[in-house]
Amino acid sequence: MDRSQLLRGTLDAAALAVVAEQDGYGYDVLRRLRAAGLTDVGDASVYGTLRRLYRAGALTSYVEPSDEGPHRRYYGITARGRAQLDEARTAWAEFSQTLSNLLETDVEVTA
Amino acid sequence: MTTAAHVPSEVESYLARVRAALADIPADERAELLEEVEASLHETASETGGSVAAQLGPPEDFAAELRSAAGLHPSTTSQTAGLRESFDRFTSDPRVAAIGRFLRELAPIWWAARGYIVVAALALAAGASWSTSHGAVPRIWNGKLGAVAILAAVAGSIALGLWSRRTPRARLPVAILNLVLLATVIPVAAHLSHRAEPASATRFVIQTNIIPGLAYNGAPVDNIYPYTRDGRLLHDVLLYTGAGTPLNVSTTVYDPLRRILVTKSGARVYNAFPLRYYEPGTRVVLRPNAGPKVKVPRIATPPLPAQKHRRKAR
Repeated sequence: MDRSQLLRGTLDAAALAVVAEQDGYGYDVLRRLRAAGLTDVGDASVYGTLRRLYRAGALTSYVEPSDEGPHRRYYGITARGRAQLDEARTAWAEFSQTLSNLLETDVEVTA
Repeated sequence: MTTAAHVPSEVESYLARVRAALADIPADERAELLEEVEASLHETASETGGSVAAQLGPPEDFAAELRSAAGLHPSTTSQTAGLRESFDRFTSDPRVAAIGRFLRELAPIWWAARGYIVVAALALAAGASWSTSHGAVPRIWNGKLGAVAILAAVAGSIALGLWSRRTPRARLPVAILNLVLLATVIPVAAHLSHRAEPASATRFVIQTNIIPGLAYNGAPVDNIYPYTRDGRLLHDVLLYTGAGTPLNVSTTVYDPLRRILVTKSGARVYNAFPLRYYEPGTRVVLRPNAGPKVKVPRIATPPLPAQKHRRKAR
């Protein structure tokens, strides 16, 4: 399966995790996601996701002037965002465990 | 650095195409989304050495991904987008555009009217009295000052109209003002139509009292006495109009004393003259040949040939 398709459902959790670690602006969040190994995450997907999480109240945002170029809009996690991240962690742990089991079984059958 | 000057314009043109692809998203949400994107594009451009499109792909694809990730699917905004699209199609129709241009040219008429409406509405609201000689002019201390106020308001309104035409941000408040004033047009117009005639003018009331039965020069005719040219009073002459309408004299109140002719089939005939009345309690007309004192003139014109009596005896 295409990694980008896998990513689609989990980008919310990934973005929340990055912002929970430290507040960040759009390009910064993108860079950190890529640095963490999500190399093929789309620029527009990250910016869109941040805006949507902000609208849903999972993120706050504030503007800081930047030395280089225009001001930057930083995102920070809210209590609601943390709750959503915790939920995503649990769901992901269960889901990945289930899928790992399934895939390992599949490997055994075909092997 | 030549690239440094080149970088912003490439970002801007890329951003413009993204913006165009998101045209159906509500304006404030789109502005925030694009603000986020713009800052990031500048960083992308400065890191990759300028070519944003090479790094990010076509702006339309970028916009689609952005829209999808932001949860702003076309379907969620399609209703307003569809409305806006059909509105745009409506306003871009050449005939509608022509009407729009025409109305814009007529706008100064509204500006002048608007100035008057402001003064008239305020005067109405304040319960001011109105000039007796010029019913449209409210009295502010006196009628002259009222006229001055109207002229000043009209001039101010025209100035406002000219200014708002040049100033886009003034359009919305002015449009709201226009709507409010349009609502006051009705009471003002009602007042004006009420005041259309000065109080001193004479009112002509045309009374249409239709006289029942026969009338001559507006006065009721209570009887008709037909005489022959040689002075003989005729009885039971049936009178008809040129259209064949019987000249009925049928009083609304039933008069039992009136002698009314009856046909063989029992129908009553009301156009027989002269009208005659019975003596109370009898079926006798006391003086059947009574008539007004008239002196029938001597007629020199030769008589017309008498029509043969064609009715067959039944």
